[in-house]
Amino acid sequence: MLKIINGQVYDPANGVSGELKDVYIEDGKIIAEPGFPQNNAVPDLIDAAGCVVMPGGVEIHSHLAGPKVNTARMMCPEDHYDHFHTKTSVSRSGTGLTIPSTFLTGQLYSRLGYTTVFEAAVPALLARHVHEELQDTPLLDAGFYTLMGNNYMMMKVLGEPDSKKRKERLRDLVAWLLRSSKGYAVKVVNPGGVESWKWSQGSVNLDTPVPPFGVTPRRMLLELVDVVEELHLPHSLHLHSNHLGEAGNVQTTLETMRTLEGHRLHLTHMQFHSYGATKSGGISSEAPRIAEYLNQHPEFTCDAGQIVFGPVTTMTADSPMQFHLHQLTGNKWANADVEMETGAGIVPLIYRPSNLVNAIQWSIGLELLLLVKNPWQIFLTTDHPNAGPFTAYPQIIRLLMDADYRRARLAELNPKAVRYTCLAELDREYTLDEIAIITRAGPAKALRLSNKGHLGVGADADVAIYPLQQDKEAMFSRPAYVLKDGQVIVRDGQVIKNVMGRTLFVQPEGAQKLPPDLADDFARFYSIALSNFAVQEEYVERQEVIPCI
Amino acid sequence: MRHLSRYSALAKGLFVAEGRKGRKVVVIDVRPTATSKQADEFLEITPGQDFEIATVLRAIIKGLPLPELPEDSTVGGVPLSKWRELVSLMKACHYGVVMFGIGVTESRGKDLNLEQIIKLVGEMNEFTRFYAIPMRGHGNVNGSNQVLTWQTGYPFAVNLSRGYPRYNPGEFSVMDLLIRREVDAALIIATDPGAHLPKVAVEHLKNIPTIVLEPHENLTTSWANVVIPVAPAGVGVSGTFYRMDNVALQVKKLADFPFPSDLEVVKSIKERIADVKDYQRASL
Amino acid sequence: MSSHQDVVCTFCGCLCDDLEVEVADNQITKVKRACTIGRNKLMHAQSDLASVRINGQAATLEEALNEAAGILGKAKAPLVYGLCSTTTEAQREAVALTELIGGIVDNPSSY
Repeated sequence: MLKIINGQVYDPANGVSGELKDVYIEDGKIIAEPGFPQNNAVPDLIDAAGCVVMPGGVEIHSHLAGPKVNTARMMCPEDHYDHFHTKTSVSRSGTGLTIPSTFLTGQLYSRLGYTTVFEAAVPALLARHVHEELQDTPLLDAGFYTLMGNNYMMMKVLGEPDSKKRKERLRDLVAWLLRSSKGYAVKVVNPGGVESWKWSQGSVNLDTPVPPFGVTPRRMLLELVDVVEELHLPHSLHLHSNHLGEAGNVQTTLETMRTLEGHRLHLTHMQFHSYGATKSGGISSEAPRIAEYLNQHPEFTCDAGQIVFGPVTTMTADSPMQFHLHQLTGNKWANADVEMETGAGIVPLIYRPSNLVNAIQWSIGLELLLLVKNPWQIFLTTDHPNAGPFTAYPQIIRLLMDADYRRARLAELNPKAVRYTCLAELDREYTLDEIAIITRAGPAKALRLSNKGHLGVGADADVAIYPLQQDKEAMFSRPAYVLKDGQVIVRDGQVIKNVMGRTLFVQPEGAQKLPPDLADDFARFYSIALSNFAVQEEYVERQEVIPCI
Repeated sequence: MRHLSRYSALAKGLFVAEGRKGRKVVVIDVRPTATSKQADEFLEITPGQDFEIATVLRAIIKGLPLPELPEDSTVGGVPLSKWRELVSLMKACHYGVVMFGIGVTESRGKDLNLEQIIKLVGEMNEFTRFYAIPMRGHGNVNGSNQVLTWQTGYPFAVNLSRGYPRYNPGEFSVMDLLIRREVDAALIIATDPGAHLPKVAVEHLKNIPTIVLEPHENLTTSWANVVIPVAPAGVGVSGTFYRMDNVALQVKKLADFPFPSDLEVVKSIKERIADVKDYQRASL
Repeated sequence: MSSHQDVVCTFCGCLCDDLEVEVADNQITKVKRACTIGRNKLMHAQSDLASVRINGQAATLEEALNEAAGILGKAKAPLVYGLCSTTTEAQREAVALTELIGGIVDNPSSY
């Protein structure tokens, strides 16, 4: 047994807010305080005096493994040359600043106190690659979301005129895609927009019929939120809305939310979707409108997608957006189409405080985080590595907890930025409780991971212990201890033990096979045999199936 | 060998239901080949001109003036007018793919030729959808690029002697290392350098202790110091291979072999060395 | 006799995965739908097999593994090369081994 003593415990899911409380761990789980008399075994002690004790961090949206990440690593050696980590007796070496290699990714997350991560966008056809990389990403439990918003079979089924039949077929297809890929949730990226671009057609709105079946994004979203609920998937639909990054996209974002009112929905990297348009075509902040809407609608969650100044590597299944970014910046660009399913684009980029657009984007992310009142509805992300690397989380935490620091940073931005934003007027400072919610308890709840994000009896013993400091960036950069399944893996910010986490996925009920017409399409149009499509058990050696209840 | 029939020219797709009839195939090569015979158009070029051709094509695509080139001149042995026709064809298509082979990187200009082709394909996207796919020879050479990249950040020529990955093609690539005699032992896995590398490189391999993991007798096993037979992937053991377009597939085991797998052998060697070096096995 | 469907051909980067292979008494007897090279590779996969040798002399696997570990553990600048016709599972281990011995790892795409 292991006992963490003298720590101030922040466990918001269980209503514990900074109380001095002992935490007991046995066999990788949090246990109740043992009754007396105890057996003879003397528990191992961790003295957390002067520290806060929190559940391990839970990453809800990050691009950390798989084909597009690896293509980015390959095309950007300049991201790696100056950023290398030497092997130690317990950990493998690695390279990379914004797109670290797999072992390094695991180490960097755990050194921040994160113990669970989700890769945000995976085409089912390429899922095997992601599982392979996750097997080489140590120290973390991990899963991914399966892309469906531009999938040929999906659009064909949505084109079915009979609504009852359509619903049944869609439910079976979603379940089959999740089971085949061993994914965790349904991800939709720019619904219809990626397919439209493959046809060299323009961007799509909610009511644009998308070739070849004429399905509109609105119908797709309405049907998918229903199916996600019917299948009792632990996570809601995970949506990257249309028109990411475009001036004036707040209309689409609000319209999307209105369309899906009353349903569970997660809107990702909201910062990129909260833009007004200026007369000259630039962006302005519409964060207050988005926040006001979210404050009225507790059924929705979102993550921030906060900008971090410095180099990033943008990558998304939103390939038309990436081509646009390539044209805009002249930076190098890679694009891939995934035959029947989706696409992806990659463009490296640098965000600069002197750049007006970047300065406004930076302000919008913080405005959202400060204006959304309920921290259970908005989570800390940088859409790694799109808006910034996840390693910047401690810096963002300081920006949220320290209004003076925030104002000082704001003063360094392009001075015109304040004309288009309201950040300067916001005085809110996050509490440690609220930080614990937006970095672990909230994401775990949105993902319905009942053993994560809290320290109640039965929870996985994933724990982060941070020495209390005035400078919150320093504090959250260097945990004194990180525990994974009850084992100390990080001490004073350094990895001291290597463990492998589990792959988290779902197995929703539904047809085990494709219906004959789709199987026939698969045979004719996919480039591989149907029997070679589903990810085999060998790729999830250490697994945890999260129940659909 | 089934590239044309299964994946490219002849394949019947969702949007090219008629297969070969719905496609235009242009082959650019230095001599007629089995593929060029099946092409709609074969442009036979003079060797070593790849860079010039790609550059001129890029200029035509962008509509730039070519003051140095009279209209009746040739580029790479092919009339300029033919190259203009090719660009018109490319711009008129709905979805184009450039499939390039190893010849492009082995002629004068090497990686610079490739850079031109990649830029050309990128720029074609201003007009229509265009892609490039490298034709990969060995079954899982792409897998080795993928694995090296996700583990170290770099696709090949990775030096781990300082305990972290360094990448420098031309310095840490096999040919340069062997010709300059900079390595003092070699572990060869699933390839036959005795058959593929130039004589001077093979000479150095013969002079240093060389270990080979290989199912069959080949030109390297005949002189290697240690030969460890292994079961061939996709016949005697299952595992993962990456197709040239990055689709990962699980290859099957079809028959029993009296040998262990590459994986088992490499792991066993690693653990023998690790035990001496006192590393935590689990961390490796 | 057993018949394997949708077999992946591992010869070239096309990885055609629609082959049918018949196996009788652990011997591959028939290969359908492969190209000429792919079929020959599979039909001959079980012949001309290598044997365990150290410096040309027959040895046991155990002896060969120890000899290999000895050579690579001692080397100052070992090279791990090839990897192009094996599984990623083996490739992942090969990079781990290279890191352990402080070597250089490369594949045929570098030239």
